[in-house]
Amino acid sequence: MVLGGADLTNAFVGSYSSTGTGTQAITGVGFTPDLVIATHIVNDPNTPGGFSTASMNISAFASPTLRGALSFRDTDAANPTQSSSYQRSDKAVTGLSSGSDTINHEADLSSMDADGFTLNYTTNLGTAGFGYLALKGGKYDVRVETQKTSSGTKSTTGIGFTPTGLLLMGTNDTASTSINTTQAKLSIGGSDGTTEGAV
Amino acid sequence: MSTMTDKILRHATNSATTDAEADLSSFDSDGYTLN
Repeated sequence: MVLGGADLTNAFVGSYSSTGTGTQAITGVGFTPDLVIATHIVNDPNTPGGFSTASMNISAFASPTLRGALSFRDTDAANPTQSSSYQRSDKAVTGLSSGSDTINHEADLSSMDADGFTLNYTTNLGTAGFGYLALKGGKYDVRVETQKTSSGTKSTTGIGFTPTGLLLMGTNDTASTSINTTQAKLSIGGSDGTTEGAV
Repeated sequence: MSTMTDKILRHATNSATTDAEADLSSFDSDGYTLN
């Protein structure tokens, strides 16, 4: 993903550690973000190549109402299979435990601030590190859209502007307050209006 | 895992079983359309 153009005025990559439940201001960004993309990875043991369990969270938020988050996890060589996923349309950050079907971290966006953003953690089982990309400039919309259940076209409206790029992510499941304990799937795709790609 | 350069979205059970896939039809004045 390459970002640029005159509308994009600021970009900042940072990290923070969650500290507990309640509000947590993440500062040092240097501007009021219009979009934040955050990620969080848990692995055990914390040694490259030595993972026996792992979980990953990807989320994005543009405002307290424009946000979405997904998480998935897997235990290596487990019998029966231990894989699960979790997707929310009303959270800015989620994080599953790497070794069990437990929501370790969950927060919503309280506000975009002059020097960063403030999250409100409703669940925080231990300190966790999150990385993020904050952007200022341009127009952004973040939402969870339902998938069409038959072939043919489906239009998503209410964005309020004509997009110039689209990034799609999903766990191949509906957004829910419950963990899907049967699968850990991730699909990511994008387009600039001419070229498209998906994994 | 599979990588596709001609779709914007692919949900799959495995590399051989596609659950859903879509192309971008258009960017619209108030959103976008997938096919």
